[in-house]
Amino acid sequence: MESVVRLEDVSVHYYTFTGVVKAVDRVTLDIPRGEFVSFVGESGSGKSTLALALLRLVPPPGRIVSGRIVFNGMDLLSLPEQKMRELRGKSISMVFQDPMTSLDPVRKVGEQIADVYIEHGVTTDMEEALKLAREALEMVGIPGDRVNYYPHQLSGGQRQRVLIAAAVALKPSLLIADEPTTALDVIVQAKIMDLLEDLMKELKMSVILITHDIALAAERSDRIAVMYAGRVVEYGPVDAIIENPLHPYTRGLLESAPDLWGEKRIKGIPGNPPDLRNPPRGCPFHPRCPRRFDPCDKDEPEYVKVDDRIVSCHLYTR
Amino acid sequence: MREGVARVGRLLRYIVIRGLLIIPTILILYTLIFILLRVIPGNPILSALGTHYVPPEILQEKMHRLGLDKPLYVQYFDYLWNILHGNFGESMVIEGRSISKDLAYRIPATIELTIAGFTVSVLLGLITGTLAALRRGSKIDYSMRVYGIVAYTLFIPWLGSLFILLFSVYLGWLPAGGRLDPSITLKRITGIYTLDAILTGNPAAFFNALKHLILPALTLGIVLSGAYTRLVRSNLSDILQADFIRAYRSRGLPETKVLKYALRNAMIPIVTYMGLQLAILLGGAVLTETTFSWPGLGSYLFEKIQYRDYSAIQGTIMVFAFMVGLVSLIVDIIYALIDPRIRY
Amino acid sequence: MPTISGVTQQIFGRKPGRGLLLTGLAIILAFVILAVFAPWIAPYGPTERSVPSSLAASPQPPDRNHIMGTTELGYDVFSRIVWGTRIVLYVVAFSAILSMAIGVPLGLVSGFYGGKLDRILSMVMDSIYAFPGIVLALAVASVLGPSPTNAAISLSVVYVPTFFRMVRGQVLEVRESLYVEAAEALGYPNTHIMLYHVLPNVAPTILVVFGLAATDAILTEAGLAFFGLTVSYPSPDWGLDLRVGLRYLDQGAWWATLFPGIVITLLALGFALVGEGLGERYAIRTER
Repeated sequence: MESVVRLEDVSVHYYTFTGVVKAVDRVTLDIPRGEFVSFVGESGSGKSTLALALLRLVPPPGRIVSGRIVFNGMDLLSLPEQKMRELRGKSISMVFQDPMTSLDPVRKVGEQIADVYIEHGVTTDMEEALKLAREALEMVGIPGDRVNYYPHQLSGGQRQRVLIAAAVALKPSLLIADEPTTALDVIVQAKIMDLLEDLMKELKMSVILITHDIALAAERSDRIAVMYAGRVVEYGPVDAIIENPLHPYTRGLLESAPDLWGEKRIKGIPGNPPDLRNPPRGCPFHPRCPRRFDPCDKDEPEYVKVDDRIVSCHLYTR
Repeated sequence: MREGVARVGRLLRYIVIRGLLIIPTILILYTLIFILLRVIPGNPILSALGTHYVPPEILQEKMHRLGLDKPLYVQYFDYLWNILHGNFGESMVIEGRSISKDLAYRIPATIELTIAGFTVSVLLGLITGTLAALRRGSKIDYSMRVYGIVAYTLFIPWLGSLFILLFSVYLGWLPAGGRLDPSITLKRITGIYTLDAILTGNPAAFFNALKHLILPALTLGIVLSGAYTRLVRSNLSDILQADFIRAYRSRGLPETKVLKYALRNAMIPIVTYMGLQLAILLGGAVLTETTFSWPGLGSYLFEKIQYRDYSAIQGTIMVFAFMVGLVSLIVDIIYALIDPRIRY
Repeated sequence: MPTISGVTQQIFGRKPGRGLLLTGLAIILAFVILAVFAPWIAPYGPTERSVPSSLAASPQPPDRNHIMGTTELGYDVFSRIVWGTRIVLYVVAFSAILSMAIGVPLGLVSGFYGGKLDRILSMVMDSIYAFPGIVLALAVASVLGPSPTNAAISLSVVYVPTFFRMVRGQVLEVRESLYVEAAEALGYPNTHIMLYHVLPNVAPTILVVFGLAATDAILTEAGLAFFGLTVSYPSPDWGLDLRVGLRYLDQGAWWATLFPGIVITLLALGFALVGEGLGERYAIRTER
């Protein structure tokens, strides 16, 4: 199985006044080429930081402190900034959570898409770039003449389409979508997800979806990575995870999702995620875990391979 | 194409409406100044002449000549009518002296100084504010914040005197006052000397006028830049955290472009502020002119206050009111042009 | 009911802006001490010829007896600065309090009741606000004639709109809030709502604006003095001394302008820091 991107031991820390926050903690996994992989977790689990780390855009006071991110055979973390910049928007693209604020309010949307063609050397002519932007808009289902519109003249769904058009304009091999539908209303949400799936097939992209919604992830992905307190606690094919969650946290998440089993009672997970400045010893989930036992509050569980999944839990360490 | 024409039409309509809105502002100031200067107890002529006794027939003649013997409401409308026709009346102190002529001679000097001072302040503010915003929380940021506060609290004649001391008295590089050396001849066209020198192709006069302009413009510019420093710093650092900036970066735009677009967004509230700043700019010009013997409206006001020439004071203040109105209109138009979200 | 410890807690407590606030207050306090104890601090009277008449024709540089030098008439620059503090603080305090006393109630009432009165008042205040403050103050002061009290009145004309606009804007905001609506629903009279519900909420803003207006007022007062509209020479006032000193600049008499200018800027800085510190503490952004 060929991977589009491989994370090895990646850690991202935020250096705040009150201490070091380990937002992403030693994450290791493979994203297979051409697959749709979802990162699922609560807010603060580190999933958005991980997405930004893939583009090396973690804002200060955050820093990628260790690890390797191997993309097309290159370690992104050791590339010079100039090379990294050339990859952004061309080979790896990103779509953000809030389409209302992710477009520059004082430039026409066409110009903002055209930027991509100019900065990545497709053309030096603005007219030519705007013509390509027109085509990109049509590809995401927006009439081409909207290139002359300002963002405030478009609806939220349309703006997200514009952002997607700019992201896929150069047919990247990896598209990262960070909660792309959270800010939109329900009907628009489904359309945007359909669009992403269509584009993925058409352009032969791999997609990473960042979401807090495990039901959405289950519906759309090939694989799911469950994150908790900066760690990936379970990663594997979607069917296996839905049918037989190995990690108690994954089970908890599934049981608290309303859409999957309509007849079941919704259960929450008692307790709160830990303070990442001062995480608990051992397994970070142990204070909330219904199945904790002897080693959980002492040793941190290693990653274990169970069939085609990896899981980080003492239940499976021996 | 048709859309472009409609846009220009809408813009013109907007300009006319905004233009009409400055009328009440000017009328209010006119009324205020009129009440203040004409309804005060005592006879303005006596106090202008600095004496308690003038033979009654001479006083009567003078009052008549200046129109001060008419009922107040007639004076109110007469004067309004006259200034709308560019006639600011006659000096109370120097008989027969036309105030309009004096003002016309001095307005270009003030315009030249304020434009130069404004340019210096915006440039300094942009540079210092951007430096601070890019290195938020650093030592540079801290020093720029201090600069922003201290610059605003500098007393203009004091800063001017330090410059004169350093660059004129000790180093002898730049003149301490005036607009042009007496030895230089320059044909007066607009009255803005640097411009006139360019128009008549007179490099000697141009550089001489520029030399005279540097210290006053720096003085005015530095004091006014503090407010811009703070404004650019806070706006730009907010914008740099905005989602669309992150989105630009995610598409591989180089940092120079990102900063350019961030500044373009940050400029919108700053342009609004330029309108508010205008009052401070013109007020600062009055003190700057007096410090550097710059023959503009401010030093004219200074002279006339020393002589208590009330009709000249009133005229000068009305010119200031018109300038404020006009420039706030210009700022509104620029604002409408740079922010696509403004509907007009 | 604010207690004394509550007030000290407000000022000295470990909250944002504490350093700025304390520095500003220290500067202001130092000048207040200069003003109050002027006769004991100043080595000479403000118009006392303190050098032998043979030297009195030109300004003399600082020496042991005159730490800031002397003026052309043999006045001691340091002593004139100390005595001048009295005039400056009087004019600035008088004008800031007067403009607050007029601007705040007008802004409260105008914002609270709205209507035609509000529209007219706002228009008048906006017009004055848009006009260069120092020019207006100069015009008023030139009509009223040079005196510290007249200067203070002239400054008030300039700063009433500053208070009015800020308070009115805040009142419009507070007026929309739930607790004012609740108080109205409970049938409290308007004056009660204004004094006990609206005013306490706009109080921090008033303080910040006070700091900023006072900063401006010091610089404008110095401007009036520079134009000879606060006191008549040889009475001491910083701005006036600076102007007189300008005449001797080309002789290299730097001390006659440097020191009066330093104190003007220092006092203005004191109030600016207080305004800034309070603004940071209450997270209030102001236009100026």
